[in-house]
Amino acid sequence: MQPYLNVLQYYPFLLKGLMFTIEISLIGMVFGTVIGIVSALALLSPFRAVRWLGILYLDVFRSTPVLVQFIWVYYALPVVSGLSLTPIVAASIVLSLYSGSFHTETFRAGILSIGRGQHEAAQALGMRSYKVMFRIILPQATVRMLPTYAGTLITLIKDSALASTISVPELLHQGSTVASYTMSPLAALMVVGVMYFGLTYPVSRGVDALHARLRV
Amino acid sequence: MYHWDWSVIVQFWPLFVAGLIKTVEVVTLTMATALVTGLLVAIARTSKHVVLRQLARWYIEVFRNVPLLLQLYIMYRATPLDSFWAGYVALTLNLTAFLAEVYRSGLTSIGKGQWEGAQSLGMKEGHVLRRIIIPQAVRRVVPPLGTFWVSLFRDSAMVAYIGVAELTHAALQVSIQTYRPFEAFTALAVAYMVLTYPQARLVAWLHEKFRVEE
Repeated sequence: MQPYLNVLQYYPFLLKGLMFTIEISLIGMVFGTVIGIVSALALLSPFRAVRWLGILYLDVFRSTPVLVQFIWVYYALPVVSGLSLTPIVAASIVLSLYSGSFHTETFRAGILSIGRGQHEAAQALGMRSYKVMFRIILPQATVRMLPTYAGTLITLIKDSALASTISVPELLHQGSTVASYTMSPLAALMVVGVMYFGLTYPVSRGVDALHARLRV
Repeated sequence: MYHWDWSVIVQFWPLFVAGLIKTVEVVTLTMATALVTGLLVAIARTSKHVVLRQLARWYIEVFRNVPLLLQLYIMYRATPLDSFWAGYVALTLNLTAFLAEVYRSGLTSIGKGQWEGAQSLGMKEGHVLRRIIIPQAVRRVVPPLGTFWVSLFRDSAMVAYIGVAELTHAALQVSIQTYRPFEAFTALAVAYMVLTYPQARLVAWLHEKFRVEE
């Protein structure tokens, strides 16, 4: 018990880490969603060049490890671009682009799952194409995409732990530090594990509930 | 203006190759083990015994909802295992939880009617399983297994941070020794892309081929 009590003395330190984890996850969620919508629309665009850009983005971010994306943006990008990024900015960029690549597939599949008839009916009523998309297609697609979308949020929270490798003081980073201070790695990392679980488990229960409710 | 120097990649080529071999080693060993352990956990998860079922359930929940990097750190820093075995065990425990769910949804997606229909034709239980259930389950299980193979290949990069000398570790070494992070990490990213992309295409093809019409 003693190691755990020692670890818990550092609770303000761990809570600070938890706040950073929540912060970068939220940033990743908001920007990732926007990026996902834009690139899903790009993939469905009538212009070939736009579609290719979308495919390029998707393939790059889905065929490299997130860890490598973190390392590349933080250590390699500043060398060529000349602008040095703070760890938090670098982490936010990576988490947004990375989760955006998952959302892209989700949104595209969701949009395509709405039958052509809906499209044609709305156009027959004289609606403009952006209006068809935002008033008719997306609201219906949203419901179907919700479980997959929420699933990506769990992945996002978990992968935000990789920001520790570029020294963002988030939960895992703080936990590793406490592990060294207290010299009880098991206790410190277990406490961190419980904190992550407290964050992700409710979301994952929500995903299951959504799946069950939306099953047709 | 930045001057490229890609010669460092050529110079350290053997390190990258050794890293790649280690990556393939970790990934195949992990997958081979988790294919079996995942099935065992899936069987426990659908068992009639409440204790077994609940144990399997919480195992799956915990390992799927906690960051993999944390699981790697625990295995490396809190057990006497060396970095390779800590990496292998942690990756396997993690993948087992995901594969258990793949197997379970494969098995439970085959309706009860299939069992009853086959049994009413006088087929024995083992026969039903071999001839009716397993062939249908394979179609539903193989494509997601492929997907998890590809994500394992990518996620294995994390074992670099517990000191396993695989591909990512090699790039980190090169970057430190040559002060050429751009070249080292760009080469690393390209290597992963070149290696993962064909695998991902193959898995997409599997999904298409085994598509189940409901």
